[in-house]
Amino acid sequence: MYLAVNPATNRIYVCNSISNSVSVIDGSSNTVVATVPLSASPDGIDVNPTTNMIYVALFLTGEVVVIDGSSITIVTTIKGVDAFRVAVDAATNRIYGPQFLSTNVSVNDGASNTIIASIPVGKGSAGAATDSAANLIYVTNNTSGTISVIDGSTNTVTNTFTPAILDPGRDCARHDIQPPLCDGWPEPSGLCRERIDGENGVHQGWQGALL
Amino acid sequence: MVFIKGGKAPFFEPLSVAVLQPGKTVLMSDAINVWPINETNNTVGVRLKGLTSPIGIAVNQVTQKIYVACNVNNTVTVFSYQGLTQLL
Repeated sequence: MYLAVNPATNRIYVCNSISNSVSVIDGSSNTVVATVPLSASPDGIDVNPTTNMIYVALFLTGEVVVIDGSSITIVTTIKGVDAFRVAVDAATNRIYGPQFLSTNVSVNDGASNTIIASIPVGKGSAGAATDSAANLIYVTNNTSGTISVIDGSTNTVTNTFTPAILDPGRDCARHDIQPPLCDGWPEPSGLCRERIDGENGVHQGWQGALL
Repeated sequence: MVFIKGGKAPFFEPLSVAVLQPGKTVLMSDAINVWPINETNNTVGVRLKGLTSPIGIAVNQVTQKIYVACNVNNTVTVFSYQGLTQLL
């Protein structure tokens, strides 16, 4: 279930992957005001607030459906995008489609609804978002465990980073001890491993759940 | 009981991303939690609590609201920006 917001109209669009539709929510009342049926399961969605066009990725068919936000009707379908998700840069009217299987991001022109470039990123590119002011595109690489940052002006990746927790101990909510007395990394059980110190406080290792 | 040297950093499998504060903060979902990321040093802040299988994230920078779609219960949770800037 993916969703997008149009700040200009305060409407929220939600992909209903099982029922093959998009729900339109009025942000002021938080109620569903319309539903757009689709031919296949929608996987990703984003809005261009300037043109009021909604882009919906149908990963199974490789298509991106374009919905007019004013009339809430489908105006066209872009074929061959193969995007898992979509992200729209309203300033450039470009639609970015991370392709989970090919580790590329397709760049689509919103005016002509054609594919104009393909940018290699990490493995399992699963999501994207745009920073229109800076002309940057963020892409989540699910398999690589990284996030790629694309410069929209050059269509090149300028940074790829692994998200890192600066202070791991703060998330040990279910642990009765905190770092440095535990290693600070919660296991699936929710428990961290306890630090074992020998004589004179020499660190010997950690005890706790098996990895 | 086992003894293991050193700690193990968590490995994120990022799924969705949304820009919270342009140039400053992005939000990331890994289908388990939603985390804010400081763009300047790539560090992860405190997770948003109270979510079950968060999949999609969207931000309305005009109304300063965050929308999180959760697959398990078919809901959209609405957060206010206020206070979230202190998560990093």
